[in-house]
Amino acid sequence: MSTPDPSPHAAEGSLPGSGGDALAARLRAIVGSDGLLVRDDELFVYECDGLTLEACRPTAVVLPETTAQVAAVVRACRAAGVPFVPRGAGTGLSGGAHPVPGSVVIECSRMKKILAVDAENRTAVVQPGVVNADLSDAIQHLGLFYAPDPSSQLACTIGGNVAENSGGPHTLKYGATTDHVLAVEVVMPDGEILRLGSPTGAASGLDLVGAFVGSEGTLGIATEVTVRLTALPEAIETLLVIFPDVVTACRAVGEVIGTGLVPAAMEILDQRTIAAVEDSVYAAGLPRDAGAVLICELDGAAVSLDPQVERIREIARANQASDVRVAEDETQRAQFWKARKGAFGAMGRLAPDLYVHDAVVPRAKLPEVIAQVCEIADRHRLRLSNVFHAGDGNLHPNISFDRRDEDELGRVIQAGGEILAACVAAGGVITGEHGVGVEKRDYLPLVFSEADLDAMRRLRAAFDPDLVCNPGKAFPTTRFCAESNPKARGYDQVPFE
Amino acid sequence: MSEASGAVHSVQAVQQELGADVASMQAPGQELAGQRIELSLRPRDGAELASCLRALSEHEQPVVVTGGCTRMGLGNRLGDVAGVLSTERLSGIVEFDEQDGVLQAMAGTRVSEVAAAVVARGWELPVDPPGGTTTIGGAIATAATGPRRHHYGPLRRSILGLDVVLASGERTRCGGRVVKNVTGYDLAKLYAGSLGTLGVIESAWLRLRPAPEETRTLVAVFASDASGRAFALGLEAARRDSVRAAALVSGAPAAELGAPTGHAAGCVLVVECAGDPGSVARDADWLVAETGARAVPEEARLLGRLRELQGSGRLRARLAVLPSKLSRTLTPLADAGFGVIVYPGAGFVYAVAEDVENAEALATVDAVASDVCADLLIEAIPDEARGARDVFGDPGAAAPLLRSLKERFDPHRILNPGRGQGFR
Ligand SMILES: Cc1cc2nc3c(=O)[nH]c(=O)nc-3n(C[C@H](O)[C@H](O)[C@H](O)COP(=O)(O)OP(=O)(O)OC[C@H]3O[C@@H](n4cnc5c(N)ncnc54)[C@H](O)[C@@H]3O)c2cc1C
Repeated sequence: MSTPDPSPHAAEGSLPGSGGDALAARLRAIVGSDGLLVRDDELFVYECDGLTLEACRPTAVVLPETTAQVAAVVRACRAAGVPFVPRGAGTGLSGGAHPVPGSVVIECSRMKKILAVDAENRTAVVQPGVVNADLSDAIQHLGLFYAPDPSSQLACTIGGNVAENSGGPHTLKYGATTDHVLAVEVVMPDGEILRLGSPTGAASGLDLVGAFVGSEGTLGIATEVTVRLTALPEAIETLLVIFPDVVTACRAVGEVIGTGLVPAAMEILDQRTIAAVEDSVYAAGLPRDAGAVLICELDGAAVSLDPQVERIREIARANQASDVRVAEDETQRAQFWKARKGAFGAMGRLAPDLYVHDAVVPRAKLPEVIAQVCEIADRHRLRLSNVFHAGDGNLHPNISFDRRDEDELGRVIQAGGEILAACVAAGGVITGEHGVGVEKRDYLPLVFSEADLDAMRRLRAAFDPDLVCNPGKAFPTTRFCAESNPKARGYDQVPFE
Repeated sequence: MSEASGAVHSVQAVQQELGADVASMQAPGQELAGQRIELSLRPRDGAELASCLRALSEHEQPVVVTGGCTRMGLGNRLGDVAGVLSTERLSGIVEFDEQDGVLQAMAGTRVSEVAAAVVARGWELPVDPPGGTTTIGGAIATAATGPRRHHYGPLRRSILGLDVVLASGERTRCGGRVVKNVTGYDLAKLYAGSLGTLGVIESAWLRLRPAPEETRTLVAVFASDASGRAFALGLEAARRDSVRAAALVSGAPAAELGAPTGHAAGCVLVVECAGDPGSVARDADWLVAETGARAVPEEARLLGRLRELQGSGRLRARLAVLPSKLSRTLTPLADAGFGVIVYPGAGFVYAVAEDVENAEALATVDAVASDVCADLLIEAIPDEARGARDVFGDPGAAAPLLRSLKERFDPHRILNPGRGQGFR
């Protein structure tokens, strides 16, 4: 990425470059002065998302409130020959919402209406700026919830979730965002408005919704999303299982999967994560001397849960677990989850910077890969902590570091590449939920051949032949990996409670 | 297609390039899906499949792609083709990871073969296609679905990764073998249900489900004036934890399932409960108490027969309908002479007819679909009734996008020309 453009833009909102004034005027005519940001101090926050080491200031940010405004903004950008970058809450971790030089950011945060809830048919229609957790809160009284639950759900938006195909702890049983999106209204890169899919979830013909979800903002801007709602389970049991170390915890997870149980969630926190959590406001009484804990949640028909809890206990015991605690009430359950979902925030205390990896391996390979990951971090003298969606084989090795220490930063990047390579060698992939974005675009060749990527480019070109919608993401650049992948994040900026 | 003499020359060139092991000329007069077939291609592995497509592309010879040939009538009318490209020899389970519950199978492998292999090891293949010889590739290409859809979800949900050979002959991969993955675009979603119009599936990684500990099938019969209650119960059943399939059947298919015929003919509710014994017993007891349903022995193959009925009929339509509007579909469709199968949990209504006045019956289907805002898919239609109709429905504003996709994935239109939505 290029460095931020240091030249200050004129205070009263003209844009740099030829035709900049005309574009600013057009954008202002569409969204009003109130919906257009052009001053340097306003643009500053849009330089990056949760991937903070790289930054690039956009020329303008627009805050549309309606689909028609989004479409008009896109057409204005097209007419001016300016690329545009959709943005939700900016919690993305792979740089998906990073501006490119000269671009206009289209932030959907003001499009936050829940347009309709249809309890009988279990669907809701929302604008893209609706915050994930707000949707579940709004429908809880109907006995329903919106299943995808990223740990950032108090901040991230449905639009961002759709773009990243976000997951969460409960993806194990309920699936990721793609399994819950029925239809999307899209402002296409040429400014046309297109409706993909159907509220029935079974539109005839090609599955364009499936192709759109997870496309990282490169195929168009989602301006309305119809989602599937899920009935709250009749009963829930949440277990906290204490293990001597993270490898045995992983082994137990593999065994649970192999036995044919499908818990709603299986999350592992290693010792360093436990310590960080217990030292923070998310403290949940986790045993500090445990090598690792597994949060295992079971849900469904009440009659079916007791036997499952028993089987988990047996598997845990057979894998050296020292204790299995069953949450006694909703308060304790909430506490376990607070510890889990606050873990990233808690880690922010360990060092100035935190680098979160996101990779997936076959579940049966978890024990050996986690051991490799620890070895890689040790070898590079790095502080590693692990908190991850073990049930899905989705690792989040987190490295705490200080970006001002250049040598350490170099080792962080080196180790990161080795971790991804180890996951791929085990049959895995380089991202399970955070996306490729800017961060991992040059690691794609670890997983895909040029022909594979070319097939993806065909899809891209059918939607966006001129590559103006969120350019520079999700496909390799010709640049060398290390050069384009310095990374670090400020997790503590995201609220959890 | 070019002139007859030129075309023959090119077909032969394809055959010669590929050799007799893979390609053979057909005896004159061979037909498939209403098209004359001169050439038959039967690659044995991905490399041969790639060679086939490369040669076809070079010589601009279109083909119809086949798996188990159970659903050749799906989609729009096939355009002119020179030959058939069969995946039947791309067969076998490549890898089965029992610990992880995932499996890779070649496209030409029978679904039934895979299902049997995994069930023996405690897993279940979440694919329930209508045809007995359906292949994995065929099921994916048609996005096959059956009575268990509301439980399994659409087939695309179980696809982890695909190896696909593009029309150009390039061998590509999307997705992977892991159960959670956002690495690269989710092209598998695009290929699933694309009827082989964008590429030829070579193999697939699929996610399995744990095989249920117990399965029970129950049947309840309702009088014709009780169909409202039957709908309510069917929907309620579908929302219970252990209910894996729920179907409401009326008309000729109901009679085949053992419903009384004649004037009092009503409908039949078929429910399959599966899972842990506690939930199964609870849900089955509930159904018996509510409806007087009786258990049906496994040998009756009730679900299998349901799948066959769902795929029957010279005229067949599928309507995807929101649950709240489902009950408005049954009577008008039944009155127009259709056998009707409703899957309340999935929101699918199948209207099947063997012998009706096509134009009139189609008009009824269109009217019902528009009344309940259904997504209508005409799955089977006699050629004489087809007209200019796009069986997927008018793509409307999406037409340029669909054309552009076809153009980019299959510029020479060698793959199942004409079959896709808006591709004509
Ligand atoms: C502490 C923390 C925990 C996290 N935990 C998880 C987790 O458990 N699981 C998980 O999956 N992710 C997690 N994330 C990552 C992040 O929250 C998700 O990727 C989220 O979906 C991003 O949403 P957003 O609204 O912030 O989108 P942004 O970051 O603003 O944008 C993300 C991408 O979406 C695109 N985009 C945004 N809006 C639209 C739109 N309307 N139309 C088209 N494209 C659009 C952007 O261009 C960009 O490419 C976490 C992040 C943090 C900081």
